[in-house]
Amino acid sequence: MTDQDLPSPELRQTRLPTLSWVWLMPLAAVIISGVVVWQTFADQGPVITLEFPSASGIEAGQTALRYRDVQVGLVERVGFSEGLAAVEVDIRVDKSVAPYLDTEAEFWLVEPEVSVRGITGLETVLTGVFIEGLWDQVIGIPAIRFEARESAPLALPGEDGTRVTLVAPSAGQLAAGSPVLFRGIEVGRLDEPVFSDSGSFVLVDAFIQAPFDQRITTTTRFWDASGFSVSLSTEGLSLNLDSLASLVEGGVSFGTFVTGGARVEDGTQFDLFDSESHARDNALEGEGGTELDLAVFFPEIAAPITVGTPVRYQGFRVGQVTDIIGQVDAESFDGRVGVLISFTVNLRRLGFPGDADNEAHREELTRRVRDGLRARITSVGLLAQTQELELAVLPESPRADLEFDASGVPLIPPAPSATTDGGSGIDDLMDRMASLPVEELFESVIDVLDGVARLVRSPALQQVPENTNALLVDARTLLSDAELDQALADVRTATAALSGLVKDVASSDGVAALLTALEQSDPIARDLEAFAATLPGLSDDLVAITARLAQFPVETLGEDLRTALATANAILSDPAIARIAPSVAANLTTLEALLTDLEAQKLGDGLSSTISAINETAADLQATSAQLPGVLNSVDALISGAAEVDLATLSMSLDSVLQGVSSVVSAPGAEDLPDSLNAALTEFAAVMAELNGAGAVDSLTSTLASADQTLAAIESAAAELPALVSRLDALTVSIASAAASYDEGSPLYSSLLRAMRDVAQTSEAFRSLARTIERNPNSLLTGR
Amino acid sequence: MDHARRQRITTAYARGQVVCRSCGQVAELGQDRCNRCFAKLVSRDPQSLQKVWAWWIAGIIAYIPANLYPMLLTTTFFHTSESTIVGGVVELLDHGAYGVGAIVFFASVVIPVGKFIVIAWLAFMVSRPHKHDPHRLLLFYEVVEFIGRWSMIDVFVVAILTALVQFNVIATINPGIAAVCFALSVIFTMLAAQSFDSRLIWDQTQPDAHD
Repeated sequence: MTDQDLPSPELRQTRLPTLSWVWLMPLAAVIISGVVVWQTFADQGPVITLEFPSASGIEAGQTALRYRDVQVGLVERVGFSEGLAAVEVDIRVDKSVAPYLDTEAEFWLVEPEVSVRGITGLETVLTGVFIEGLWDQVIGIPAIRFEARESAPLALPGEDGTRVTLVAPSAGQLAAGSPVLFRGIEVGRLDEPVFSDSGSFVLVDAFIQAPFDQRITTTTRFWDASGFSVSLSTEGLSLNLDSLASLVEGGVSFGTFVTGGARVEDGTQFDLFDSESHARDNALEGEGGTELDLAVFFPEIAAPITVGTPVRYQGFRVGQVTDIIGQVDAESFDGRVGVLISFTVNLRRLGFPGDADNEAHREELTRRVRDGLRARITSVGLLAQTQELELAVLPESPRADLEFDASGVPLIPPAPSATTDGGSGIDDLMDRMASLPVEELFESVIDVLDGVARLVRSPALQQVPENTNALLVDARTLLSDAELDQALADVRTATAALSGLVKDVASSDGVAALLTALEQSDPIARDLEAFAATLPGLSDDLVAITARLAQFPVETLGEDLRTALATANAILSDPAIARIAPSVAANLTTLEALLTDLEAQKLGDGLSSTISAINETAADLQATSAQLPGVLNSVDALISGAAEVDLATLSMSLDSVLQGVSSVVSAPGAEDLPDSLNAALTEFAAVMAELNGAGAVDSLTSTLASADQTLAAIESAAAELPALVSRLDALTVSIASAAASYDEGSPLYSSLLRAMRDVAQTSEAFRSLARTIERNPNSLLTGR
Repeated sequence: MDHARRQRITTAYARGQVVCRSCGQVAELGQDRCNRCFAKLVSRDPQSLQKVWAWWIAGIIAYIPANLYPMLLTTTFFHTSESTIVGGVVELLDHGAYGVGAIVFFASVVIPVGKFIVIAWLAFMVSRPHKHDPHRLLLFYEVVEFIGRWSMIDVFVVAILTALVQFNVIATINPGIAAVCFALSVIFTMLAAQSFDSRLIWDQTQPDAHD
């Protein structure tokens, strides 16, 4: 089977190829694309062109056009106008708003802005700038080309209110965006100040928001609330400041001081006054009536009147000075320059008929001048420092007629200035001040100052600070020195020791015992004294005895002595006698010791010198001693007499004595005598030994000596006590004053304090001791 | 050589047979359905070129907005930037990302445009007698069919970026209308390539002029 054998009906490729359904796909694509394209173009609004001075931040495809913060368009192109004069921005505007974009529409760029009023357009920092549009809700003449504003218009979209125009002599601090205040609340904004057509004043548009614009009537007055004003007057010092914001950025306030005004329309013009008081004056005085130009010529250079100076009539402000020119006085011909002051007055305020014409005004004026209407300069203010022009009726002034100058302006006759009152007072004051001896005063002052300068420059004075400094350094060193502390501590210790000593002395038994001993020694001394007083008598007696002894019959005595000796021999031969001898010897030995003691006692004669109370005893003893040679002489004579005695006689006497003795001895009981004598001697010896062994004399002597020393010491001590006390007092006082000058709390101070306390205690103890001794000296002996 | 090889080519159609494209079963020409798999047997799809051209046109139509409209809408800090395919490539090259730029350029511009050209050329060639080497035409076709799907890489990039970069104000990426158009264009061209009946390549071959 070959190709040719194929049955022809089965060959489907021979049939006309049918259209595939796939063709629907490109068709659908085309249709969809077409619909989309058509719809896009159909929805597109018109393109408008805005002219900007510069395209700051505007980007094609990014920057939006907004109306009431809703995007209604998009920038499509940013380019230049013909000749690169401006930047053209093409904006595709939504179809819905396009019809409202008429010639009244305004556009401006919203950028972030930082000013004293705050930060605006902050959202554009992130999103980029956008163009804001403002147009009314009425479809007007369509336009596609606009010139963009430089800044946002006064009334933003959606804000209702009234727009008025303020007329000001100068813009001052006013700027676009400055607030409009009503009783301190911001109710509107100012537009950019612009020049009037003539350029002689400034026009500022003000927008007052809706509810507040009803406050504005034809009687409303606006004033500049920029900054603050200070006025000094007889009422005192007043400071006016409307708001802090207006201080910084300026602003205007308005007020309606007079009722009855009519509502105002957009675009009404108001004068802008420079202060509230002026605005209030103006409002209260009212407006209306004919303004009349007048002038006055002062032959003399007038007081400082300036343009704008108020013109008053009976205290009311009726006008103001408009011009001041110097003019040669044509009448005097002496070339002196006078002043021509031009001013305007409101005739209604002068009381002129309101409906009269110009001619009638002149007649009225002429009549008034004839009646004495004059212009003069008055002084007002606290020190009469402000000059004003016053129209006054002075009937007694020289007659004058109304004249007219070259241009037909009525010339009011001048009157003498009324400024003398205040001014002359000040002149007098100035004169008096001028007559003060200012020069002399100043010379004296200069002399004084020179002297002061010399004094200050003198080296000695200049060294004073150095010396002071050194002194202070020394003082600081001294105060900070440890030795001072040590010294004070020593003082403390010393006083404490002294105090303790004194206390000990006061309280110890030693003193008491001493005093007791002294007290007891007193009668002893007296006894000794009495004894000593009897000693001369004793010597006399001794002499008499010796003399009588000399007359004694020695011859018989010898005999007697012999007898006695024999007897004695017999006695001695008696064994009893033999027993006596050792006793006698012992007695003698004892006596000798006693005598030695007494001698020693006599040698320690300090007894007499030591005790003042027994001085006399010493003197007596001396006298006694002086008599002793006499005694010895008597004894000597006795002995020599005895030598001349006949031994035989003596022996006889002795014999007789001895006989007597013998008789005595041989007398009954004589045998007992030796025993008794022996016993007596033994007793005597015992007494003597006792006396000797007890050492009583020694004790007494030593006791008295030490008492003397003690008393002397106490005496001297007591003598020094008051001085010591006073010294301690002085020391205390000086330490107290020194301590008072030291800082409290320092170690030094506390040491001082402690030392002072101790010293005070010590002195107090001393004082009490001294007082006790003084009041009760016995206590020295008896103890307390 | 080419000539010799061409002389040896014998198509199934020439031998009165038809091959089932589903299972490979050879059947007699004219048989409606495959004996084995019951698939419809067509020796040559008579609507093949129609479909190719239809899909081709649809692909071209979709490709135009895909290049005109923005592919990506990148919003960073309230600032939205739009970038088309070519614009994106230029931006990448501007930033010095030559490798990525080349890939994007290749996948988004070279491959689709190349596909359009090759498919149109193939469709045009097989519809009339031609002297081209059928083997070469087949190679072209297979390359086009294989490589066409890689154009979707651009769409994937957009999809991934859109899914990943969603940080509200800071940075947000949204697909533009071009992404849809481009995806449609790729799909259409792939369908066009698939609609092409490669067996047509062998039918209209003519001996070389040198023969």
